[in-house]
Amino acid sequence: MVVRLYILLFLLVASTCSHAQRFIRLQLRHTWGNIPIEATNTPVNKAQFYIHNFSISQLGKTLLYFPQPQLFNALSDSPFATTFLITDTAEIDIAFTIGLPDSVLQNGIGEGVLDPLNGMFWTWQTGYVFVKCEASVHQQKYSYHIGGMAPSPDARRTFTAQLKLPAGAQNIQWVVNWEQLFTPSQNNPIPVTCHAPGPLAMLLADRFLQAHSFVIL
Amino acid sequence: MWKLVFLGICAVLAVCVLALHSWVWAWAKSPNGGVPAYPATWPKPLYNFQANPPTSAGIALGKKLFYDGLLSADGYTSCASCHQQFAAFSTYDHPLSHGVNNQFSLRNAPGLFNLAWHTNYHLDGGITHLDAQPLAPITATNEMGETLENVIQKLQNHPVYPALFQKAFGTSKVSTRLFTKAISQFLVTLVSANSKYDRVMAGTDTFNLPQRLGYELFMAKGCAGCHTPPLFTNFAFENIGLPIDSTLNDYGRMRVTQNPQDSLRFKVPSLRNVQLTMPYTHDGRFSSIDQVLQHYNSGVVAHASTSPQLRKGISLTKFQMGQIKAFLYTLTDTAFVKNKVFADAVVEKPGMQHHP
Repeated sequence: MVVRLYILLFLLVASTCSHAQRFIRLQLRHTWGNIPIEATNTPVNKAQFYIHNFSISQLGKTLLYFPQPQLFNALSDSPFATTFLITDTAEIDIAFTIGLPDSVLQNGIGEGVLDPLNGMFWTWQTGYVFVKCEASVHQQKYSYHIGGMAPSPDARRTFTAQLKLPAGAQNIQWVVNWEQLFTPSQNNPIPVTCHAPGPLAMLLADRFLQAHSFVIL
Repeated sequence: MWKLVFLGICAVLAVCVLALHSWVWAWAKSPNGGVPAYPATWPKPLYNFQANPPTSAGIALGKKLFYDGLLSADGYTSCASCHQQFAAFSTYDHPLSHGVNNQFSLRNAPGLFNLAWHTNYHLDGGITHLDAQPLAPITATNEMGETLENVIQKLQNHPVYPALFQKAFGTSKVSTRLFTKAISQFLVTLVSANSKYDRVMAGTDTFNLPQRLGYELFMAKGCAGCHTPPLFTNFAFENIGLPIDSTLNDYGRMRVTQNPQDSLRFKVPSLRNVQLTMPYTHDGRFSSIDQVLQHYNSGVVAHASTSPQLRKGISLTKFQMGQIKAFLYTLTDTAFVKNKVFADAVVEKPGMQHHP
């Protein structure tokens, strides 16, 4: 009888442990390499980007979801942070799309984060700059206004990652390393300007996708 | 007795005319009565009137903005500087439209009418919403040369505009969204549908012989394939075989799509009011309709992207060109270009009164 009670107690505790829930804090951090972008010695003058459809899920269950467009300004916004509840032991899936949904142009001029006054709207051709970065690197001024939606080549990129959170982990940093935009590959040297949709915008959109990583603290 | 018969005939005729009138013109109304009138035989407009229902206050505000140089860097260059009503709101007699600081723009500003039937704007179709269109010329350094921040600030600090925004939109706070909506409300009222051609199609007028022959040629020669009635455009992008101007290097639609197949393709312009919108083509290189017709007859330079139907040109005799031109003149809507409702409000200053 006592043994049965111990077994029952063990199962109860084990069950409780396997479904233990905890809050995780997610914080966005902009860097230039390893240096925080707001530091005075970084070469960046402007750095902002749009995302939409941000989601964190676990075992197919949505833990966090922001469908609406978000605009992150690395140099002027207060750091973006949020919390969500996870169940221990299972991996989490993170996904978001850099850029804006087609629907933003259906009702004309947007407001809030979509207001052209944010400096992310192309006026010569209807559409938004998805990623804007202006920097002075190696005594050279670079200006990247990366974007493009149909009928232009589509410069939206979707980021996905899977994270295994160790026991006790409570913080995740979403790191955007803007220096990645200026990292040339052997076949693709660094262009100086990109102000229109097209192949160059596509290349830079790929580079900016690589700039995102999630670090467990 | 005869008087009664005569009165009866008159009454029947009056009823017929009224019935015809109501059939021809669909005085379509949005819930707040904002959709402008257009002929019943036309397709439905594509502008989203529910998202921006025109009101008299909104239209008045849009018209004031359209005619106000305050939207430009120099304070003088308004939308109407390049879109002149007497030329069906196009740039008349200037191959390239003029901007601030004595600059040329890239293209010849097209006429503004029947805009609610379009889904994209500019000759390369790069603007995909009417509300977004004004931002292009306002911020282009070689057109109005202004920033949106300055425009908003100038409007907000203006002695009159905040009250006009309050009246039109229920808020005196000026925003990009609202001032562009107001301009759209004015622009969608610019409906041109009262030419002789329209009256002929409605059965209230007749073509004379050259006009009728020109109309038949227009249809038979395939012109209507691109300049499709009743709006006289198919809204597509076509390469009509114009060689590139090496000083402008304007490749048209390819600028937007980056697709080489779109090289030198430009949006098919409406031929309504074509008599009034000289010079012609995207860069205004032809100063007369005769030159345009001559181009189709013998001037087409075929490129890979040239429209198939134009690769060999359109064979036309001088006589036929004259007939087609006679027909094209029937597309002139004099009532539209002289409609004072669309004109700038004239303020008479002391000493400017008319004398008998």
